[in-house]
Amino acid sequence: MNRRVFNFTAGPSMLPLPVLKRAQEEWLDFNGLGASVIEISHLSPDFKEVVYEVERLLRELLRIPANYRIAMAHGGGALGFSMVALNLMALRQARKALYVNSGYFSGRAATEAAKYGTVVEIASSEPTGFDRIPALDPGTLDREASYLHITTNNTMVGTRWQTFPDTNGVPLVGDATSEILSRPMDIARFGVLYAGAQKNMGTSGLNVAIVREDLLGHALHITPKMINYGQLSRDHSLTNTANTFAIYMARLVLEWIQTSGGLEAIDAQNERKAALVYEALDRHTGFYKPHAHPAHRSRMNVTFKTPSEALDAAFVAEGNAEGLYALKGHRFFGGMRASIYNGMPLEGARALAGFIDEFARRHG
Amino acid sequence: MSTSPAKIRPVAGKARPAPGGRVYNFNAGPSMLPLSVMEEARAALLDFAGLGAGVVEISHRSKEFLALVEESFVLLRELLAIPANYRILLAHGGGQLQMSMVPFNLIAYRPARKALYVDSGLFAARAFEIGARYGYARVIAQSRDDDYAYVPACDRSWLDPEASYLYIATNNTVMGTRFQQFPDTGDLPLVGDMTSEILSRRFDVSRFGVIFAGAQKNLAPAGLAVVLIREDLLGHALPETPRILNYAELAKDSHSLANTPTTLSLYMMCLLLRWVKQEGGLPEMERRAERRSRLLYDAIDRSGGFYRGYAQPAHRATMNVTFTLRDEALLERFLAEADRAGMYALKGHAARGGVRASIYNSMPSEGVQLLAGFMTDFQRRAG
Repeated sequence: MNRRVFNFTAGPSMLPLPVLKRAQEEWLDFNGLGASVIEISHLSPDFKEVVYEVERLLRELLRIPANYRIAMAHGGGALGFSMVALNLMALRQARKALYVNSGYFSGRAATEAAKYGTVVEIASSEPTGFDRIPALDPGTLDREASYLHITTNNTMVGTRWQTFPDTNGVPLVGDATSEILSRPMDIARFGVLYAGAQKNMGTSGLNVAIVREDLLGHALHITPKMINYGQLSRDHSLTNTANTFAIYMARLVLEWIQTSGGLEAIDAQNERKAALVYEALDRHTGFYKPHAHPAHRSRMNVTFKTPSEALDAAFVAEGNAEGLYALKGHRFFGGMRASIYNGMPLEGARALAGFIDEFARRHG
Repeated sequence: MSTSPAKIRPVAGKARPAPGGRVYNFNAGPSMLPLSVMEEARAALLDFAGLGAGVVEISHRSKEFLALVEESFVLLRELLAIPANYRILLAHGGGQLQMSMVPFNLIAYRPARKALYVDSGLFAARAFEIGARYGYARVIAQSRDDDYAYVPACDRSWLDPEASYLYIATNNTVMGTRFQQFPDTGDLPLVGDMTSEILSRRFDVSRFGVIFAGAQKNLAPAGLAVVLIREDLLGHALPETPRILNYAELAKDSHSLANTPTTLSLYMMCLLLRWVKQEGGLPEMERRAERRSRLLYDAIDRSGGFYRGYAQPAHRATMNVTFTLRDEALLERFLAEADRAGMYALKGHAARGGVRASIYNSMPSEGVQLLAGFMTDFQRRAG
């Protein structure tokens, strides 16, 4: 086997080695059945046990209150954008939704929602190139709105909400795709918290929504059953043939988080990893230009540039040669992006920090 | 940091007759995959294409992953002889999300917003109910009154020229029936749900406006659907269609990657398509499917009524063989003994009961021989 690289891709992303090894170990023979977990019925007792375990571990790790339901659907965060609006837009008669524009995916979410009602952009950091989370005055929020949507971590630009806003009684909907399970979160602050699985919860093709019970039952008539929160949660997310591999991998990842000490330990580890990388960048202020305003930095996605595009390209290529894989920034943004999700070991962040120093010394 | 160790203990007293010490898996889907494909995928979980990263850990936009998608498109075109004016689309979910995507995308193809359905089984009926949410859906032929034992005839004179499409399920997974021939619909786009039989028989793609298939039977693990669509049918979606469910949006990207796809399924589809080609393509898949299903149907027909096939003989599927026992009190024993002998998941669908042997492309003929032999032996002992 080739040497395993430190994989900084934004998602699908690096998984913990013990998770992959476990998946390999039981790949041909799950639970002693003589068949793989991807070859058995989603309705078999063996697979239902996997789903129940994912629900149980999510509840335990995220401390999900009893009045919240879990709905797992096909597609990633992008289908999640439509699900939010299809399920919630009609919650209040005005069919109005408030969106905070803090990055590319926030905009995508708002565009989808506008198909089903009135979308109001109540704050935007676009004028400053999405380098921060825009300020929000809770007192001005329209109480007739069905919900307020935020992107808790902005994957492409590398910013995050450090704390979550008070919403004046409007249900808060959070897209936590690129940071779920990276820190403890007070679920009770949210009406809906949702996330594509392919960063911190396993592999792609799955999205998970945590929905407060009283928000169920308002889906528009055209909503397909497979993306209806109420239907999914009633069916334990087995409304149709589920993405069995992604659900199985989510179970392995959740087990790994639990045996690693839960979200408090993961949180501390992520703090150390992000500090290593940001401190390295900040040691060379004349050379590297981190994109995010320091007070709004994401701990999952670190975005930065060198003085020139040619040096950016050299950074990516030389990093790759040293086993630091996929450091290239998003095609809309350029520069570099180091995604350091839960699956990235501390040694990976340390190796990147060392390379950041070394590259600046050689080219600075 | 570690996960709890895997506990792989063969279930006591159960035979493992299939290659690799596995069982013959007759599940209706997700279904059995070829051992060689499974073994290659296992290695790729940790290291794909020499990258030092697993296939489910890399970007769907990386050149290594895009190459897989490109190869899959070439193989699909070649194996199914897809004409140049058809696009191949990749969608999330399985066949059932397509039951919504078809009306979202096609019911407004003609201004009357009418859709015609043939009610030939459980999933066809479900598709009709869903279609009715988006426009005027009508059943033009049905076999529901006869417990779906056959595929109803579909006379061309019943077709409404104002309709946007006619929807059929070409193979009825739960009932074990299939369209032996496809209706001629003239200018009316024919939509075919081929989830449970794609790549198992030769057919003329150009007879259809849209063909879709959930991947989890003959294409790949679950979570993916493949759609073949004639180009002129793109661009008629209802304005409220979610972007990820809009065929025209899926067609915009040359790799049909409108967002992060389910990468494991796409990767394994590529492996499976290579396998189908290497084994001899569709002519060989069709020949094997005929042979496998004949073995089981012969066992039913020779049993003197001990086994009773659900499907009328002229309408029998080659992918799903459904039957029960004359003495239904013996059913549980039949299923339990088969399971112990290494034939897994033979229990029929909850709505139908009895026995269902799903014998997709990946089922080796030895698995079917084992089952046919078991049926004869069981009858001798219990009959």
